[in-house]
Amino acid sequence: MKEYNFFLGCIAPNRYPGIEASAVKTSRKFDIDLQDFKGASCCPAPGAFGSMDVDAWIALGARNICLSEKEGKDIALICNGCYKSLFEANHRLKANPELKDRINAILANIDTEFQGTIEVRHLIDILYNDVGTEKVKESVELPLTGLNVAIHYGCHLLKPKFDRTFGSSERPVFFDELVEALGAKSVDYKEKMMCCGAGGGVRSYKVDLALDMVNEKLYNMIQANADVVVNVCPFCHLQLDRGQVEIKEKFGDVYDLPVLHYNQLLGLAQGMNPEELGLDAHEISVEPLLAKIL
Amino acid sequence: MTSEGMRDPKHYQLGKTQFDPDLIKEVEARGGKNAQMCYQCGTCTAGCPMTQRSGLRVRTIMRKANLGMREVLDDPDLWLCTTCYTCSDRCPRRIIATDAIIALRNIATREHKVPMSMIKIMGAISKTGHGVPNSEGNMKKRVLLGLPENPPTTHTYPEYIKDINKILEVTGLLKIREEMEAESQ
Amino acid sequence: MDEEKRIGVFICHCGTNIAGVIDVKALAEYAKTLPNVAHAEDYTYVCSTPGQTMIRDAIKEHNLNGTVVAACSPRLHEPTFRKATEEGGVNQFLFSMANIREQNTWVHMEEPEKAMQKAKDVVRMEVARASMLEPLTAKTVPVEKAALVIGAGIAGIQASLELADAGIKTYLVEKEPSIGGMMSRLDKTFPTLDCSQCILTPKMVDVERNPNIELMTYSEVEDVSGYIGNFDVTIRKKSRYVYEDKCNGCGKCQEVCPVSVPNEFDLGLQPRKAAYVPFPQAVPLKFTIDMDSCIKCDLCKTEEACGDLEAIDFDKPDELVTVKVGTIIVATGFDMYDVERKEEWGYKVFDNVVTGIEMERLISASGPTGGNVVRPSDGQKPKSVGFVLCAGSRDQDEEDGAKPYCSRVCCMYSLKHAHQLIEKMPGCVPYLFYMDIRSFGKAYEEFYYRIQNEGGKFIRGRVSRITEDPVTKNLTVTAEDTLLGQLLEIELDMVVLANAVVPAESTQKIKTLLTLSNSPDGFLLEAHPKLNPMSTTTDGVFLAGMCQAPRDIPDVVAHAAAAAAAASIPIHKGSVTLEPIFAIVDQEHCGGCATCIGLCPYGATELNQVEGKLVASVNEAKCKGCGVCGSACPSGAIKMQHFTNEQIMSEIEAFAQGW
Repeated sequence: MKEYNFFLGCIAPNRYPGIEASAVKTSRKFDIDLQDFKGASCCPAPGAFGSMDVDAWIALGARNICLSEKEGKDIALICNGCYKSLFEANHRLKANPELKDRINAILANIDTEFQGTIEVRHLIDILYNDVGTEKVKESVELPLTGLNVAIHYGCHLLKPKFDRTFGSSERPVFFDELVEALGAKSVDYKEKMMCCGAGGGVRSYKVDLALDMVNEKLYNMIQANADVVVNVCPFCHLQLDRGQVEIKEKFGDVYDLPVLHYNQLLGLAQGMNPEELGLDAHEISVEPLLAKIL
Repeated sequence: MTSEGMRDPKHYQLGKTQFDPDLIKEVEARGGKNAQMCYQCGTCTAGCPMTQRSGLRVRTIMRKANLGMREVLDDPDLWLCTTCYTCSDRCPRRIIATDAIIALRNIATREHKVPMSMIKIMGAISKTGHGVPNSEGNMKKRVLLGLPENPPTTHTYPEYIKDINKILEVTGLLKIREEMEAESQ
Repeated sequence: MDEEKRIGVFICHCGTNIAGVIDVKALAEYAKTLPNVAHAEDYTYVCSTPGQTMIRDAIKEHNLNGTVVAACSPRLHEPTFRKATEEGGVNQFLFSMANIREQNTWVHMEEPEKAMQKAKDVVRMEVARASMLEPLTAKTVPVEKAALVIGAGIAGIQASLELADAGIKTYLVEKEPSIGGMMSRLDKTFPTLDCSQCILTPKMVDVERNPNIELMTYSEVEDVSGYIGNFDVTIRKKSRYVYEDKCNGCGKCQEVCPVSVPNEFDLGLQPRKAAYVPFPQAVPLKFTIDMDSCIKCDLCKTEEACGDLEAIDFDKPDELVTVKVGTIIVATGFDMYDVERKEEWGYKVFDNVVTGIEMERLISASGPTGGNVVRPSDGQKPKSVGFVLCAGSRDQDEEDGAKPYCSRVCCMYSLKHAHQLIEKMPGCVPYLFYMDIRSFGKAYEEFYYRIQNEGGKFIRGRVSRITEDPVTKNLTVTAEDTLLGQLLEIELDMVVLANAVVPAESTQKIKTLLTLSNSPDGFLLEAHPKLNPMSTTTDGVFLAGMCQAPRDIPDVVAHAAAAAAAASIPIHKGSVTLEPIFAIVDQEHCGGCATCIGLCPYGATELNQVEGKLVASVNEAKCKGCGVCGSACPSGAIKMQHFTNEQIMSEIEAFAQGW
């Protein structure tokens, strides 16, 4: 059993708890134990908060990391935004002694010190590199044959490439392979690698512009005959799911395209029922998706 | 000297452009590595998803930062960047333009030029430890899934919130929020 | 030392470089207090003519038998001061130099007192060493009247023709089955629009005919040993499985051969047989069997093909030949950047995205499409073609393998392509996406003017990414027109990536064999970037063409001629003088343990029977005086000339006196 402190962030536990539940349940099937991470806070939001002060952003991120360092456990998370905050804070502080001193001076005010003893992993990275697509395939009880999946990688998972471990951000394949291991088909669509528009504080600053971006993506996904959008970031998830409701209100466009976080799709393929994955709590109904696969 | 019927000579003087050579150094010091090396190729603007739907022009922001035109800190488009990092991945001079934009945002924040939407998020973090706090409706959803009402974060352990506020205080952010909220009254 | 040592010390001001930091007069006064110093003075520029005269005169006036100059780095003026010493009547190896500039005043400017102390220490050390130096004679070795040129593109061809016409026997070695290199792949050359083959093939034929050139194609340099004037080179003549003297180039073997593989000459755009010549004007016109693809069907050996000539032999082995040469010129050319790694442009993913050299083959009359520029996806003529300049050049992204330098030729060849498209297909519009247009050479700016006049469209903005319409295979290029400040998404029929030139893979092996270095950009390192771009720091080895840096054809030819001129000098002089800084074995004390044999990186030590005893000896010409054998010898039998243990110890003891 590999143990991790499960870093939840904000959107997953406080808006889409199905993502939280499905991550814990599906990971158990691979002997991964995502444990309660006591005292964690907002990562803090890299765009909305980091734009105000980078040192404070790193310090608050380091606070979260230090809590896990004290328990000697690595951190696993399911959000691209949290990944940016925690992976980069961890990485930069380990690599840059001057930065580490400056941040530790801030942390001294709360009797904490960053040591640099643990790793921060995104669950999709754990699934692809530690578990592997073969084992994922073996865990499938309900192959998602005939399902067209529009994959949304998001941005902070892959970029900036110099500070990430996944290689080029232009045409990655690992998420597609994980989806195809479930028996589904990953469809290519225009501007697949484009940002969903939520980040950088833009969704709260100018929501119409943010929605214009995700609107373009949704349109392209429909053009490619997608049955569902799958993501690995609750903020992208919110933008894609709740975003469709807002797009209908503001622009009148209707897509009714179900939106799932990868762990929810994985749960379905592993034979779990939609309610225990929190799928009934989404804004956009997942009924068309369930009809196709069940 | 003016005489009857002639314009004041000041009318014909454009006024000098003010360059601040320290601006780009501030940007580089705050994380905008290599920002001084921009050669204005335009790869960033061409890759930016906001270019076609807004006034945001990454290349122009880099130009103004490099020349030291502090007016860039007043640009409302500075806050339209979604930090997708597409520009940074493609830049041939290996400039992380997104981090340069974030650095400019940091400098603007010190001058109280940050949108209130961000100050509000800071407020939520200061109060609850979360930028997007839990809600009544969500608690019901959690319970249905077999999860506790609140996640094991600062929502369940609010004693950690004072540490968060200490960090906000020590970095000067709490003060900025106080002052800006007072200014907006 | 039998004779009383009388050393003269000369302190240089070097203008304010030295005198601006330390008190040079006080240093000269200090020198006078040192043992064995008979005279000391300071002067503004000791390297100048009056300065050298000063040394000569002082030697005579004060009856000196040793000199020390405290000035800049020996790398600059050691030869100057040695000569001045010799001209004063003292053996030049009784001179020693103290560096009080590069290693002192230039780096310790902020701490003048410490700099002064350090200068005193160094002068004291060099005086101590000078007291222990022995007179030596420089050795001359004869120079073999032959030269080797590695690589037979235009650089190697030009260099070998110059050497041969100067009366020097030249071995020209080329790894491909034909000479001609990259230039033979080109259609037209900028800015004159000369047909490349038309201007190159006469030179290729000259090479074949020149009685002083021994041409070895399909051959590679396998080993080089020796030193300037006396290089022993082993060349592997790879087997063509064809007897060159029997092959008459008729091509019947090629006709009957059933195997088809991609032709490297055409970058894989058209096929060749396993029995082939790379292109019709190949020199030599001899066929080669590509044994990796050959299925040994024996059709080529039948009556209808080569039967009567019997030139084909599948068992013909490689041949190793050894030649002796005086000087070597490296002309190994370049490769192209693997622009597939820049995934945003879709090379090898989108059919209609090609590289500059591939476009060159499409435009060539002898190319895969007979000179018709057509789209790879559907064979249709493009009505609009985009050119992405600086594709992988001027780019700091090392992880993608991109290069920080400018590749120098791409602006010009893209202009040329634009011209050719406009000329061949009226109505076709070329769009050049650039950051800068570098048209720097003779008639180059005029060429740029001409292409803009003919209708070439120029957009100042680097291409961010390219996408493909899955049905039409048309490409959409996204760039910002930075002059307009406007985003452009332009649909084009075809895109050419002007990808970077990179150092050739094959050069690495030659580099190791000849102990050459790379510059930071990966090309071969020249002796001096401004004053000596055609030589290296390895005596007797010279550089010609792209292997040293990106350049266009006029500059390659000039560079190759410079290399030939430099390479011919030792040969015409007939002998070369070697510094006597080498190891000497005291054979009385040598125990024949052979420790030095294994250690010498230059293979300069040998073990021989001398009067019944196994002893080591050193080949003075091969020895570089590195000191490894001298320090390793367990019997202390090896002495390093001009750097003996006693000389070095005297320096250390003199230094210690300062404490």
